[in-house]
Amino acid sequence: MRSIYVAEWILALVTSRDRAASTAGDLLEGAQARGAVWFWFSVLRTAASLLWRDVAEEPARAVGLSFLGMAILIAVDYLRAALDGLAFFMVAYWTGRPLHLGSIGWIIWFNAPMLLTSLGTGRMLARWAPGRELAACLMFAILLAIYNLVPIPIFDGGIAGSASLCMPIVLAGAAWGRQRRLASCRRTS
Amino acid sequence: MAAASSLGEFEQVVLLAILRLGENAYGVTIGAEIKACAGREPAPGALYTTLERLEDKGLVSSLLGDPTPQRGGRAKRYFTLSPKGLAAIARAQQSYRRLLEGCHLPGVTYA
Repeated sequence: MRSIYVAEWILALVTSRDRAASTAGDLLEGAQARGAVWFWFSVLRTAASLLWRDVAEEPARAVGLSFLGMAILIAVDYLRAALDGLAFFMVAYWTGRPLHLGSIGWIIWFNAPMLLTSLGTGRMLARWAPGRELAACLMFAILLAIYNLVPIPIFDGGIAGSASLCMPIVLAGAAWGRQRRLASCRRTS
Repeated sequence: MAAASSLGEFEQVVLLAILRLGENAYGVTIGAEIKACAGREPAPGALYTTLERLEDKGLVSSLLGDPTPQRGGRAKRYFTLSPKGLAAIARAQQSYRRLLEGCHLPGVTYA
């Protein structure tokens, strides 16, 4: 029975909570004759259809938001690269010793800003596309995939690679933003 | 005519299935009715997306029933045609009927 909670949670990412509950109930009823594989396949197909409908209803807005999110992510990545260079110089200058980039401190320094920016980008997409949070994220993921296909000599391949790793965190940020919006709606109603 | 032309083929199928089922129209029965009458099983994704779109357009309205244990405690969402939906499907079907007048299709009889 735990599976229906997971299914309902997945569907609630792309539709209202009560619609998600009734749809998950319908699919569970259908699964009694067809089995668990059909149930999960149907849950994922239904979620994908509802997500694509959100994109198709306002494609220009979804594309615009994804470009904005991408621009923010890349701008912060370049800023971070500049700060990295400055930090290397200052640490090397003051300590006079070679840097140990594999240390915990440097690993946090390298990754924390990108993770926080990704989470913030997801939250921002969620705030700017209320009700269609994951649609904006889907377009963002498509744009990111295209960006990754751009040849490395033209754009910085390192930035593209690190940006792809951030995609799940952007999605988590958008899902978090959606949950907060729904919770806020419940409190006010 | 504008409302009729905005109805897609699958939207008409779903509206007619809801109309046929009366008070027992929810996701599972609508899918079964389409399979029984049209001979094709609709994909759940297409069915629920269409139901949401029809509800957003104001062509159908929905009401939650009581939760049942067979459905993991989830309520059924019963759909009914709104007056706007009934008018839209009537217009769409009249258009089909006018197009069919004078046509002779094998195996098809007209009332």
